[in-house]
Amino acid sequence: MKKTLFQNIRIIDGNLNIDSNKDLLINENSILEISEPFSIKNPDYELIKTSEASFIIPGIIDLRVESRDPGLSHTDNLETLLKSAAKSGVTTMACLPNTKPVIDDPSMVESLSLRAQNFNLTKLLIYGAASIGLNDEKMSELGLLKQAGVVGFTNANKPIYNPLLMKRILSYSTMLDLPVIQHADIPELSMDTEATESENSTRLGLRGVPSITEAMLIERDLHLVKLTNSRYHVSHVSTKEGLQAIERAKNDGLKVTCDTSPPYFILNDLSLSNYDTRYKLSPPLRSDEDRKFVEQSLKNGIIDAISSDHSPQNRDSKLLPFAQAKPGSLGLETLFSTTLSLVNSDKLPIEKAIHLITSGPAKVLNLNLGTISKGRPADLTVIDPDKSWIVKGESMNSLSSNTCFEKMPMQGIILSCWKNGRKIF
Amino acid sequence: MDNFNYYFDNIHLLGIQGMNKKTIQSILERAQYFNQKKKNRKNKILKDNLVINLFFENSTRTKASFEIAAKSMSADILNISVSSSSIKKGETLIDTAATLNAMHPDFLILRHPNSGAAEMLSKHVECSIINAGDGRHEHPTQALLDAAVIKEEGINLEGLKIAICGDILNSRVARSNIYLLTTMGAQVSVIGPPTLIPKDIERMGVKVFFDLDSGLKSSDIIMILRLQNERMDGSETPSKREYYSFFGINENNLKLAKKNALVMHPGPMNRGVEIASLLADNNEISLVKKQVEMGVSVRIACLEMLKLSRNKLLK
Repeated sequence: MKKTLFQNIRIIDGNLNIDSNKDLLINENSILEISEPFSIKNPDYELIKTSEASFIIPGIIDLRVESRDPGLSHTDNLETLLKSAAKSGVTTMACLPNTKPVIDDPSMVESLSLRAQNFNLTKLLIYGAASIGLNDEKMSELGLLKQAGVVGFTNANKPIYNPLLMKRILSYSTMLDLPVIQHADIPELSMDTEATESENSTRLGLRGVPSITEAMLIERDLHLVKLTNSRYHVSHVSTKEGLQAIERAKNDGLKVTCDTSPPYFILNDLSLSNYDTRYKLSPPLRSDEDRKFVEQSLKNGIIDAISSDHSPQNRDSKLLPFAQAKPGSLGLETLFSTTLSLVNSDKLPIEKAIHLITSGPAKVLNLNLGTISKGRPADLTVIDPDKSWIVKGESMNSLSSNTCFEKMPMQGIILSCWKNGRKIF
Repeated sequence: MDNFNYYFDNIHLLGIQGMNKKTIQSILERAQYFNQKKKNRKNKILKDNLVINLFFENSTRTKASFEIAAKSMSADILNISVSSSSIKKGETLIDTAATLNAMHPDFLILRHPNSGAAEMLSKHVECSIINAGDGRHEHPTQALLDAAVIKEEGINLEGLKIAICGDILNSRVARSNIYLLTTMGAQVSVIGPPTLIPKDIERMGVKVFFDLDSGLKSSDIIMILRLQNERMDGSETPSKREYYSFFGINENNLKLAKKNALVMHPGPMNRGVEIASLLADNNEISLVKKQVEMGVSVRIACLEMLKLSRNKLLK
């Protein structure tokens, strides 16, 4: 079996809290050896030389992407999605069940994972629909979905809202030991809204949803989580009140985790001032106070992971008046650089930043990944942190180009990406 | 065309926000000038210009007002009304506008139910866009005509106390008026039930009152907004009669305002809901008719202003 040696490379592992230069030997499966620089020598190994500034991290794990395939493959297809992930240094990602048809049936899980496997790129994990058709009425076959390989249950970009259904799903999921993933929103309050309710939404005449809507659903859920002793994960948390509720639950010892996404620590609702539909997201962009609280919660560990919240929308869905445009932004290809920006602005130490996109998400889904140690799968991403670039949606690996970071300068590029010891980018 | 200077550097009129005092003053002054000549205002300012009225919402007075203004300036004008049912048939706003743009109009006057629609269109067409109301955002010519009417009454905007009463939340007229009046140094209050007052509106420089009596106190002018029927069915307010009993303006509660206080309404009025019928017809107190009349003059001034900017900026 072919062996590959990364000689004297800086390894940053957020799980082991390591940042030092080593020799790293892998084969086409797992990590064979980690030792002092220049200690491994064998002319048969393929030698990977990198510049002094570059470093290697565990392959990035992304907890939230939307696959438009099957169903809306003119917006994005599986091939572009997986290629985009590999280019982004992502070796494992979990996609939402809001495809067409919805992933509420075991055969859907099997067919999508099989198709993804055939590309031999990033590993695609799948969340099963918590309710049939994502209609929030009847529980899906959660057990059979688990047997087919799903890693959690969710209503995708809609909340699991019906309280009886939520109680039952949380309760039933304990038997399967999988997390229930929530998009925290109150539909009656957010219906037809375009922005977070604020001075800015008032000035712009956009219909506003109060930011506490997120916390309202989280607080309700937490009572049910306590009652059922279940695993509960909140996706793309974006508000202070939501995070405070999660912090209290963690302090109470509940099995609660959460992630946020880059727009919520990089941007605020002032971006909406020109009605640019690229900034229409779900949840909507929040106040700068919320943004700062998200930033702080990444540092103090209330937030377990950063997810890309990759949501391709075709040009026509965005070329509309703000009220009619679809929410969402591409996120994969900006995931690493936006995370690194927290390090460059001294908001996070680098090990912590890396943890949030590798070992952090791995722990949320109980994956045996996200760390560089002997015997583990050789999922690796090599980074040049100094190289700068400008975000351009058109040049991303997607059939859509809707990024909310358009024209923003970024730092850090992916030099190569390895899945099970095989170079996928 | 006189070389009147509007101090305006844009080919579109999208809103009052960001417009400076000097520009507003110029438009008001010019509108008053055109208003004096109302029996004899035919001019050739827009000769050989094509103006399109594109209305995605029902409108009588605004559409007619723009049409009369454009015609008196010798423009060719085309009226297009798109009912909301036709929007649902599929053509997007951009496509509709692109189609019209290909016919080379000089001005496109847009009314649309979505906030930001005029700004969005301005990035996709070559003609000048005039915002004739976008969602809950702005209705700049309405605010300009309101201010011109006040000036025409011989009242100075600086230091003037104005109360805007009614559905502030859903009103583009309120927003444009707040921007204009605060820029001109007036003191603006908004009065309405908390469900119809948007969040943090104080930060736009206005005082908020949930109680009509204290809101009206010492006001020089009361601007009454229309309340849509569908908001008075137990959704945003409990009922028409409850709304009238708390926020309806009549000759009695008007006494709380300053002596000789005047009443304005952008129309169309709900008599007996937000304004008592007798009051609406009292021409000593109500400026409603003068508002309609001034509407044409303000729109002539705005069209002239944009024509001058087009000449200057598109050379």
